[in-house]
Amino acid sequence: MAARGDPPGPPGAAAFDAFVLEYQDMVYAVAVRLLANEAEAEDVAQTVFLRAYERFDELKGEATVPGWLKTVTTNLCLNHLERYRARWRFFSEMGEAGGPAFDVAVTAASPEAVLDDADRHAQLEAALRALPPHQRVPLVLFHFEQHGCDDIARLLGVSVGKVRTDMHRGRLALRRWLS
Amino acid sequence: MTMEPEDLERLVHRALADLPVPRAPRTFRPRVMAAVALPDVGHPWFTWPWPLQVAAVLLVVSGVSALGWAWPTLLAAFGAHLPDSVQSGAGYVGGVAETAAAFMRVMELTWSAVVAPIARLVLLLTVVLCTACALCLAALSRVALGGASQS
Repeated sequence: MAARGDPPGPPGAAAFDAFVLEYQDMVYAVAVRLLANEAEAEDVAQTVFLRAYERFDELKGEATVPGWLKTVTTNLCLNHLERYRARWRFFSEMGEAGGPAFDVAVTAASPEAVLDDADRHAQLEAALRALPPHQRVPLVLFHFEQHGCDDIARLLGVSVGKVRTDMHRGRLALRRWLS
Repeated sequence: MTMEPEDLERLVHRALADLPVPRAPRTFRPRVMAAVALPDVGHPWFTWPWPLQVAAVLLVVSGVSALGWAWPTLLAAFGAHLPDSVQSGAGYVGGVAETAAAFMRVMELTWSAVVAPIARLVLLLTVVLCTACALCLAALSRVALGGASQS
């Protein structure tokens, strides 16, 4: 726990402050990668911590806290994206019919250019965020959150085949940014 | 250049695993702690703790009643200085406030004349009936479930 006095606020605020400090990056990372939007990710992450605060007495000290936080974050992000679900499918089908379904909104530098690690990471992160949700979300859940394809299909309410196809297309789009 | 899907998956996985974890902005933690300090204000009224719900209702009722009582005085003091359009609106608000005040007076009268004398009796009766129902239910479930579990 952080070595500081109780901040002003409700009882247990100091312990919760330390809790937020410990997990804020993890929660924010899941949210910002799923939503690809900093402001929305902050809103969702705040909601996650408010829910955690409501049951802080049960949560604190539990080994399952990171898993609980990630599950709640994922569910809230998917709920947030739910309103765009029909649009995902629409654009997904457009992408299947035509060429690439998006343009990567990063610099026009050639992927073959020599980039240092920071630049390469920034480019890849930007490319990931620029993917359409129906490709980005399963990729994030698969590669960062270690969900299986079946689990992702269940979470998104789509077929496993669609999940595999979307992830493959997303990987193909990211490949240009990999050395 | 073609690449097998499995190889591509491994390549992307390695690359993504190397990405640094995005860090929450510096303002995030103070923002969460500020939200935690006022946890109930942002939530719907029906999710507040009951003391706050009661206090909020009392506050609103008191405010409306005070406005109703004070409205004629306020209107007499400041009404002459208001433009006509505002005066007509103020007259409407005054009517609503007077109605609210009259409603509160009726409620007060009803409470003191009808409800208060029998409130204790009703409360006692409710407690007795609830206790009797709970005892009956417990006895019934004990008999029914006990019989079922033995058969």
